[in-house]
Amino acid sequence: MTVVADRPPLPRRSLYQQFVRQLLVPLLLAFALATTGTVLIGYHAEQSKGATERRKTVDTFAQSLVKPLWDCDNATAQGIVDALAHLPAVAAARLTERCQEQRLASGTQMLESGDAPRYRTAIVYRDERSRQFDVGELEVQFHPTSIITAALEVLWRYLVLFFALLGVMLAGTLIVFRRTISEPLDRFRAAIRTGIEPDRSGTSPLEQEIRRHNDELGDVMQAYDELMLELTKVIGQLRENEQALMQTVRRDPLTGLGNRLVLEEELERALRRAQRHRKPGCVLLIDLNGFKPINDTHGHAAGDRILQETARRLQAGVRRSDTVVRLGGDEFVVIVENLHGDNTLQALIDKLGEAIAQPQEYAGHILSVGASIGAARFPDDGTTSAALLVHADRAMYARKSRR
Amino acid sequence: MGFQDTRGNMLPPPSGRARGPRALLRRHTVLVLVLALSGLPAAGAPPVLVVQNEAHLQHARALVGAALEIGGMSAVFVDAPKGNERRNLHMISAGHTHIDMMPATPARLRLVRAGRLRMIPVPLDRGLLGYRVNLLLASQRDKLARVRTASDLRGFNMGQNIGWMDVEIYRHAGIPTKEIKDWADGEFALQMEAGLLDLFPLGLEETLTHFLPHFRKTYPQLTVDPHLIVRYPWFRFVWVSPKADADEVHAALRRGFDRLIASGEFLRIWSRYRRPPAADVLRDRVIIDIDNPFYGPGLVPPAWRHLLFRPEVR
Repeated sequence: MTVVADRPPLPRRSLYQQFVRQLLVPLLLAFALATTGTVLIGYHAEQSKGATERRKTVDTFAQSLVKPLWDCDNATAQGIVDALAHLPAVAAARLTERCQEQRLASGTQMLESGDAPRYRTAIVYRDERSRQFDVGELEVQFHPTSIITAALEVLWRYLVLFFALLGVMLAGTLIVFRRTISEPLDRFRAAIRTGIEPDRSGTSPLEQEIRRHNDELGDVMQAYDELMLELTKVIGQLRENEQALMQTVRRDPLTGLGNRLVLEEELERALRRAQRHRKPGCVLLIDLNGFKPINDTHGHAAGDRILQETARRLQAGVRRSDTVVRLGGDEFVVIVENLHGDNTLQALIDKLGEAIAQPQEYAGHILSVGASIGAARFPDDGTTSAALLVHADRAMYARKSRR
Repeated sequence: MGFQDTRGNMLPPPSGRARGPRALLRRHTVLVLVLALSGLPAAGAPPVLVVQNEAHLQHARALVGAALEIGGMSAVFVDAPKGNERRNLHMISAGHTHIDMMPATPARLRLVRAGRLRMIPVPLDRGLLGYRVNLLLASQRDKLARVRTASDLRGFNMGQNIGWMDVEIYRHAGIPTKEIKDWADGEFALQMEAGLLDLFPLGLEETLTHFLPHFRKTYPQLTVDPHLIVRYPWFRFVWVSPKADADEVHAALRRGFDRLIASGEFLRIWSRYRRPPAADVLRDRVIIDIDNPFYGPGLVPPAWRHLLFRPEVR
C-alpha cells in the first residue's frame, strides 16, 4: 500500500516565471562579474587617464611659466602657481626659480612621501639660437585617485545599461517564450479538449497542431496522441467488457430473464412513472407449485426445461412493455404498468396461471406445474419496491395456503 | 615615491634646493657650453665670451671688442640670450653672460657693492642717454615755451612706463609722474587728450630717429616739444661677470679702455656708429638738469669724464 504524505499544494507558477527565476541567478552573477571587471578596468583606465592629464597639466603650467621665469617676474610666476594649486586635482604646487633663487609655493604642505602622485619637471627656456637655459623647477602634488570614485564613475552607467538590457531581454524572452512555448501549448490544450476525433478534413485538431510543429513539442504531442489512441481502444474494450459483465450480472442465465437486480431497477422506475403519470400498476409474485417433485423425479434438466418454458409463457402472456424476472429457484415476478381495474388484474393473474399450468412434454413424459400468484398494486399497496414485494409475497403465500 | 618629469622619466628626489649634479649641470648649461667651446685648456685657441648684442648696441660692442683687443685679449664673441633687465642681471651675475653693456641702475650698483657684479664705468653713450625730450600733443606744441627750470616743470603731469628708473628721477625733482601700462605705440596720446597727461619724455636720439615717426602712424596728433631738454646723469657702462673665469676679461677691458680713451681711439670708434645731436636740435632748446637720486656724474672716473657730451662747452 502506498502512503502519500499530506503536502500542501505548490503555488501555481507559469513556465515563464520558472524560466525567468532560474535565469535571474546566472544573470545577476554575470552582472556582478561584469561590474567588478568593469570597475577594475575603469579604475586602471582612470589612473592612466589621470596620469596623462596630470602630465598634461604639469606640462601646460610649466610652459606658461617659461616666460615669467625668464623675465624673473616672480609676481606673475606666483600667480600661475596659485592658479595651478587651485585646480581641483592639485594638492600643492612648488616652484623653484633660478633668477632670484626663490621658492614659490601654493596649496597644502607638499608631502615628501605617500600615495599622492607627485610630478617634477624642469622649466627650460630656449632662446632664438635654440640654447636651453634652466630657469626653474616645478613640483606638483596631486590628490590620489580613489577606487571608489572611479567605481562610482562607471557603476551608475553600468547599472543603467544592465537594467536596460535586462528589460529588453525579459521582454524579448516573454515574446519568444509565448510564441514558441505558451501559445503552442495553449493550442495543444484546446486541441486536446476538442478531442482526438477527426473532423471533416479527416484529421483531428491535435494532429493538425502536431503537423504545424516539427519540434520537441510536436514530438510530445505526437506521443500524447498515440497514447490517447491506445487509451481510447482500451477504454472501448473496457466498456464492452463492462456491458457484457453487466449483462451477465443482470440476467438469469437459464431463462434469459432479468434477475433481482433488474427487478429492483425496473420496479423503481415503474413506481416513479406511476406516480408521475398517475397510472397504477402491479407486481405479481409467482411461485411454481409441483416443481420440486419434477426436479427430483426427472432430474435438473427437466426442472430447467420447466423453468425455461415457464419464462417463455410468462413473457408471452404480458405486453412487451411489462417486465418478467426470475427471482431465483421457481419464483418469478411480473411488473405490469398502466393497469386499470381489479378485473383486469385478476384476468391477468388467471391468464398467467393458466398459461403456466399448460402441460409440457419432456423426454416422452408429460409434465405440468401450477402457480401461486400474489399481487401488490402500486401505489395503493406500497410506494417502495420492498413494500410491494412484501405485500405480493404475503398475497402469494395466502393463495398457496388456500390450495 | 619618486618623481617623474613630464615625459614620464624618473627624476631624483628633491633635496631642498636642487643641488644634485644634474641640477648643477642644468644651471650651468651655458657656462659648460662656453667652457667646452672656449677650450681653455687648449693652448692658443681664443676664449669664447658670451656678450650682450642688440641692434642699438653696435657702438658699445665695437668699443668692447676694441678694448679687449688693445687690452691684450683676443676672444670670440657669442651673443647672450635676449632678456629683460632682471634676466640680464641674473645672467651676468651668475656668470652665464661674461659682458653686457647696460645703463647703470640702483640694482646693478647694489650688486657691484655686494661683489656680485663688476662695473667698468666707461660712458658708452657719452651721457646722451640722460638727454630727454618731451612728446606732447601738436595742439599744445608750445606749452613748454616758458619753462626754464625744473620747478617750472612741476606744473605738468609726466607719463612714464611702469618700473622705469626715470619715474624716481622725475619724482625726485618734484615733477608729478604717472606710470602707465601701454606706451609702445603712443597710446599715451589718448590720455593727453583726456587731460591726464601733459608730457611723455623719452631719449633724445631715439625719439627723433625712431619713436616719433612710429607713434605718428597711429597718433598723428603727437609731436616733439621744441623748447626743452631735460638732462640727468644716466650712463651706459660695461659690466663684467664676477666669476673667476672673467677675471682676465675684466682686467683686459680695464686696460683696454684706459688705452682707448687715452689715445682718442674711443671717440673715433664711437663716431663710426653714433653722432652727437644735431646743432639745430639743441640750438633753440633750454637744457634743464635734474639730479639722479641714485648716482651722479661722479660715477664716471675723472679721467673718463671728458667723454660725456656737453653741448654747452662746444
